[in-house]
Amino acid sequence: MTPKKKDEEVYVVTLASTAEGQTLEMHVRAADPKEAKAKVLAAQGKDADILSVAVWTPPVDEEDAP
Amino acid sequence: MSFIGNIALGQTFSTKFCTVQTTGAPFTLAGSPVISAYPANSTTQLTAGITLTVDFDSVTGLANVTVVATTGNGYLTATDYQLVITTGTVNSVSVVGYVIGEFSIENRPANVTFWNGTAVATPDTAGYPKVTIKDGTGTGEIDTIAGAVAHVVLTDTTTTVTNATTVANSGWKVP
Repeated sequence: MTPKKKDEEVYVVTLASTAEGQTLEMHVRAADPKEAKAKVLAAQGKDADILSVAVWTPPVDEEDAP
Repeated sequence: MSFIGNIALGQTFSTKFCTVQTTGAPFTLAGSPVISAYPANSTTQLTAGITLTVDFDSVTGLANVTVVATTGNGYLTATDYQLVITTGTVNSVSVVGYVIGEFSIENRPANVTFWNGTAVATPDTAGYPKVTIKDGTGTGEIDTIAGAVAHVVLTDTTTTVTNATTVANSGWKVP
């Protein structure tokens, strides 16, 4: 039986930047961190240096905050 | 390219741009992309404090740039800045040199000819603004009656009174 595919989420993948002090990220919609990494490498090149992968939490406007 | 605005030193702001391929369809910015801020016509490239997020919110081609414009990151007041792609490709084609936005730090004087949408009154004396005081007896208000100020309470110590006709409730004794 094929396992049920998890719901996709937006991941924020942090990559090493070549610029001093700069942060480089990419958002990808994926089912899990592994798929997120694979999508980033496909888009940014297989030599891209991935530093971290996490589920992206969109910023909340202060007015909407509880 | 758009003017993002005139910001205060130390402020953090974000802006967005879209990268497209030759067909016009959005395409992900790649090739170890870098955004640099150029101060005015200087060749200095500021990169510290900039966060570039490609495919923002997983929207293909949409990029978000967040700039923390502090002195620690090299930003100064009274300066214009241009945000430029200094490294990057779109569908294997270099996009280095594209200006994606412009901003300034405390380099645009405020328009003081209007106050809250209304033209400022001509001052009676140059350099001194003409104001109307909020009339009333509440906190922060001054009670004016026909151009006079009512209910004035003197709280400082008075050492000499000249030409006074009535002094009431003062507890003073006139020798």
